[in-house]
Amino acid sequence: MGSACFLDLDGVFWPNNPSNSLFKLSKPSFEVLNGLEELRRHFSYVAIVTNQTSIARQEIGFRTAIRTVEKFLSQKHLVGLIDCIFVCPHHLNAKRFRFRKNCDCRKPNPGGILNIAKKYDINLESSIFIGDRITDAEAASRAGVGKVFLLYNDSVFERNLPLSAFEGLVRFKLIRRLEEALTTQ
Amino acid sequence: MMDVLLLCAGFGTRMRQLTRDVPKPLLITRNERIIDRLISQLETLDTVSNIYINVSYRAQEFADWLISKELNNNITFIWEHFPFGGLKTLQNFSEIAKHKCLVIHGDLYLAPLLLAKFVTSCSQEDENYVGVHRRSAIGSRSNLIIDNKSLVLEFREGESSPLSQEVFSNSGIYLFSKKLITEKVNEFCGNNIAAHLLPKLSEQRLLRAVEVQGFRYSLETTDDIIRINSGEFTE
Repeated sequence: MGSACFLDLDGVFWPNNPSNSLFKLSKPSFEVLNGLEELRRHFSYVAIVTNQTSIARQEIGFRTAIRTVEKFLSQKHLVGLIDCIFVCPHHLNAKRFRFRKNCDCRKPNPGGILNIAKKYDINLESSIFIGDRITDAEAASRAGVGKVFLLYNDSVFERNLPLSAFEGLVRFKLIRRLEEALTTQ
Repeated sequence: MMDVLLLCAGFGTRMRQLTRDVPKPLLITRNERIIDRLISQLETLDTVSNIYINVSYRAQEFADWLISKELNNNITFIWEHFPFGGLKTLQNFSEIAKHKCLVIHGDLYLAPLLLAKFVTSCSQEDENYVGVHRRSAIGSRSNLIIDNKSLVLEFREGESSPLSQEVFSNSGIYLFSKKLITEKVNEFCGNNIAAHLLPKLSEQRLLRAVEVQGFRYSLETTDDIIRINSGEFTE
């Protein structure tokens, strides 16, 4: 069983410009790419788990989204850094009926992480998750990821958090750069 | 070694004028935040391995506070959607406790060496007891009746002190052994440590009161801030 580094996408790859950067194929900063390389060296897998409501909002078609994700992963600067990406296209208020559901893969639910862990036989206890919102920390905690980190920003705790009945343990450490996840105990 | 859990999730309703935008542990007294004072006191203890802070109300303020300091790698946040009330937090915490656990209310203003003395005194006790810091009771809501070996015979929460017995106050500082935090805390239901857990522990004779010298003050009203700032408590 290998260990993995799970990453959120928007606020982690593009900390200052989070919305829709995936579909604009924006290039992550040099600092982020450096951090990814460091993480790549320490973990058997590097996986992305992301909510992409723009699909549910019909801002982008599903097939186009899949093609864009493939393009994103095959970009020169990301080749070899990322093993897989899990995209949740669902939302309770999705315009498209097929994406309108209370799924178990939309963070703060842990389905996305568990899905990847099962497919790649990942030991979650020895894995880490790096996100930028408290919903990421909840998803990772519920999945049983060993260490959870949130990149600091001025809205780690979103103002309009989705209601959650979860009363279990949600713990995380704050970091300022991706590499800090490797040096923080 | 020892893990520390600072309880900082509360709304601070009793001093709403000051806590509308800032959670109580981040209030400033004598040019220092309450929580900074606690953490600097904890940093003097070489037995502390990790500090956990449970946050809920105005949690972003805690994130801003921590990042504005030299980032302390020992500090882990425990997030609650709404303040669980202490006992639930402790039950969740028991999943990850690796060592003894020092539990402290995040709104305490303590004499410099009080925590060190309390931990040292508790260490001399049998690990089969939960240590609770006691002080002389004056109008306290949380009272301890103890025997001559400092074992708590009765724990009364929310009642005025009975005149017929010598009583002490609960300070809101507890030391759990790993055994007791993993085995006992999950036995009891409720959401408040003082109202639900401590009475049960005292019934089972698992609670030992420890008194050490030094002032201990809890922020409850805006007047308390004024009293601290006026220098009523000296180092």
